[in-house]
Amino acid sequence: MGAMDRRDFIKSTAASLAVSSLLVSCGKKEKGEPLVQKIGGEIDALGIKWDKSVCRFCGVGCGVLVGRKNGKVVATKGDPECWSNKGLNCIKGYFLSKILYGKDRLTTPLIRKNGKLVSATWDEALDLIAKKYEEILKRDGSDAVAMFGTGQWTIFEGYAAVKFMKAGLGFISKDGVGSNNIDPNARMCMASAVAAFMRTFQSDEPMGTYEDIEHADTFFTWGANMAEMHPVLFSRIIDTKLKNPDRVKIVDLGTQFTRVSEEADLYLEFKPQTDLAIANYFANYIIKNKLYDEDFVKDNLVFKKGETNIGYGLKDKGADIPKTAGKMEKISFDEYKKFVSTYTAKYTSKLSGVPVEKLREAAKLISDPNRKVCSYWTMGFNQHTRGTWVNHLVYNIHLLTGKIAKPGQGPFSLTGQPSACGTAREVGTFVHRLPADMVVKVAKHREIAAKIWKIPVEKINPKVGLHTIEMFRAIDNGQIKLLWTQVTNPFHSMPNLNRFTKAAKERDIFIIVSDVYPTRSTEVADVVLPSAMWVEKEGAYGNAERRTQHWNKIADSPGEARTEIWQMWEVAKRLKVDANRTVADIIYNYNPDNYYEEMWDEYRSFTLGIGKDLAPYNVIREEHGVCWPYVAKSKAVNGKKDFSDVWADIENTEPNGFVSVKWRYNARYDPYAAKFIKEHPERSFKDGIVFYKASKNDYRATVLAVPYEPPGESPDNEYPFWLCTGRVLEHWHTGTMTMRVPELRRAVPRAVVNLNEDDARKMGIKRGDLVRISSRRGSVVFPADIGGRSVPQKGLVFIPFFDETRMVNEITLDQYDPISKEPDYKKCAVKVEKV
Amino acid sequence: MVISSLVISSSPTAFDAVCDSIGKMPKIEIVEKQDSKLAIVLETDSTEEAVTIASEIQSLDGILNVELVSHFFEDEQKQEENQ
Ligand code: SF4
Repeated sequence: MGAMDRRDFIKSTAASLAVSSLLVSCGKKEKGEPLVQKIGGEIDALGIKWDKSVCRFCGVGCGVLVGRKNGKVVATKGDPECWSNKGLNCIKGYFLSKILYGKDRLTTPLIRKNGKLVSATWDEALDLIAKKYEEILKRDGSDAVAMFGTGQWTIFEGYAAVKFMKAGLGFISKDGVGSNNIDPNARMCMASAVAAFMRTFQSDEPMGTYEDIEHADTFFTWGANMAEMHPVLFSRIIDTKLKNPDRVKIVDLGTQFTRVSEEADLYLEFKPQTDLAIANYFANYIIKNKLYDEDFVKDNLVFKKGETNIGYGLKDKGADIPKTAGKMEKISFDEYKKFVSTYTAKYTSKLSGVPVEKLREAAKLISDPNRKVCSYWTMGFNQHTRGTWVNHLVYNIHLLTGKIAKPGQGPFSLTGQPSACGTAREVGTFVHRLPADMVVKVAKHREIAAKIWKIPVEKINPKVGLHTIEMFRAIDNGQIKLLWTQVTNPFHSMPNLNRFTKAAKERDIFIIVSDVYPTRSTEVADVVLPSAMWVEKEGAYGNAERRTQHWNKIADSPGEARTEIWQMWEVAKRLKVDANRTVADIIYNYNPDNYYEEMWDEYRSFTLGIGKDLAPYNVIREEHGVCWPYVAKSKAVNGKKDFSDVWADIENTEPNGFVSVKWRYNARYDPYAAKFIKEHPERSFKDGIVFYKASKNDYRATVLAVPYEPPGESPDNEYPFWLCTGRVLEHWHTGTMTMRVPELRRAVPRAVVNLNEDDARKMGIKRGDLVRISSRRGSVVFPADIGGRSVPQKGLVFIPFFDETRMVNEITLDQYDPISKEPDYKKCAVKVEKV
Repeated sequence: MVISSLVISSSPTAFDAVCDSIGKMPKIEIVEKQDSKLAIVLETDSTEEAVTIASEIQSLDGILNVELVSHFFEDEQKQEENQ
């Protein structure tokens, strides 16, 4: 093809793709052209070979088609066959390939010698790591080692890591049990959502899917700037609004005015932490005005009250947290009514600063029986010292009104990382968990895991490990002697960072960091291992709507970079159990040339027959994302349960005898719910909804009475401002990837502090002035920004955490939710001074 | 040469003005208009230039969303390798 022809061909391809996506987003076409038919797509006229993949950035989990030529990525496009995004990506899509090709990619292993990191061979690095494991496990036992992972691990990697720690190390350690000291950075973003899901429904993850957006007419966003953090989903909300502008309402609740607030019909700006009071007020409004669904309450709910005054995790080993922090006690509906009656409009307004009329207007919308309501939230709720509670309080609203598990109605917890759900939560890479919602504490669960892993059950440690904050505190206290971090950057992202960086440098701790670029964490490492990233390896992610998405290896990794699975496997090979066996022989007994399928089948067996069913390997390879439970009609097709008798009543079933469930707990869509109802003729279930996982509560969801309690640290005379931290549109998390993209680095090179205009004026601070922000933990200088894209409320400053040259986490507080153990990055007290 | 395509949503009241402004911007071809949405193709020297234009569009009054559909950058990739 000549140069002009080629140019015209690309332009006309780009144009037709855009037109097709436009028609889909207007609702004029159901689906875009399937430009890559199936896996291993054709080479197109430009010599580009296309394969499906998933975006490497946020938790929306957009499908991306990746085009390669000569082992390099040369084009990308939104995947029209992926239902999460229907052919569209956000602007970050421009940089997807560039994150692979940053100039300082790590390409060889590094070992610290005389204080300096120097290049080493893989054998040297792996031998040293294995020697350290051996030494420490034999001397101090399995409590002395830890692994800190991520919601960016592929599902395969997370599974391999869990086996390494929980199944493998027990064969070496002096105490004969594995280590549960494995936690993901998802502890810092999702743990509160997980805790509330488990306590409310006894099953993690949302009931609905993103498709709710097209069915709903009322959207509540709680402290979530979806326009910048989950752009593709927000644009689906905007599309719904554009189609029906008079009917559709967006209500935004937050502590800063964002682009979502700008598009919203109603904006409620509340004082930090008073979301607890506002949600309770909505419940009170629902009850006072008898807007609850009486039958739904009778059939499907149980009322409880939670323990109060539960502490803030400020003391090491949770010394300020009562043992009963997570306790829930049954109460009657009347007792619950009485409890919420305190939260009148007047009282809530005084506490939150939101005018009474606005509170009433929002309450009216959320409780209107003729409205289909969806609630969305993310870090504003989860990074909260009462994060579990506030998640509960939104469930309460949806449960009382029966606005749940139906198309267009439901509470939906968003995620920040691409596989926070698929890997961290579903695989269970947490200190207390095993795969598929099981926990190490329960003997039956250990037995199931041991059987699948083919190891003696005694090898699985029943003692819950050290969750993130306590894990890093234990480095300072000397308990942890070896830490392996993978695909994450804790020595930048931990709150009260100075304490932990100092500990890493001064304590007797051996730190291994597997990553793709140098970071603040590699700076304190004893060994750095260069990793393959994203499409440089086969992988799968699970996004916030329970969708599993698989990709093949598409590009080559640079230099000697290797996958984390290979790294763990090589270490396991060096750990000798006896004369004939290594740890690898026990935990990675797969065909080394083709282990992904074997590993998937093994992992998948945890999920079958319990309503968490993952799709078979051939399906995840072929399809452009399928949601679990991916249920088979009959036992003969697959799975442990037979649904032939209810199959005819289920919507969206596929000719292959499976259904990818869009609304869990709803008998029209979820065979488990249909089957349960059929088997329980003695009970009635309003709207065909049953919380069939909640076996401990007679299959009812929990409505929890918990109050407003103040945050762990509030502004006072000395530190009069609130500090809130988070992301900016251009950079993702600690900037490890996005700061390697020259365009993004030039656009937003450094973090700035965002001030409210009135506050700035009073202090005589202008845009660009240097400002010292100090807390009880330290102080950092930032240039001031006033009147930027987001506007903080009076008395609050916002600072993003991506910048490694000015790390806001040096001043944040290591407080956490005593139930979920998730830190609160959104509230601590600081002072602001012009330099 | 970098070629990319985008879908832009605007508020219905601002749509005509938005089309007008975008129509006047260089390196852009509008290929479809419907329901206050535009499909456009950008032909730029670099990804950076494409992003700059996308950000300019984003900051126009009445714009609700700018989304990326496709991005072809083989030439840029080669240039970067040669450097
Ligand atoms: S919305 Fe998230 S997943 Fe989708 S393209 Fe943007 S960053 Fe990637």
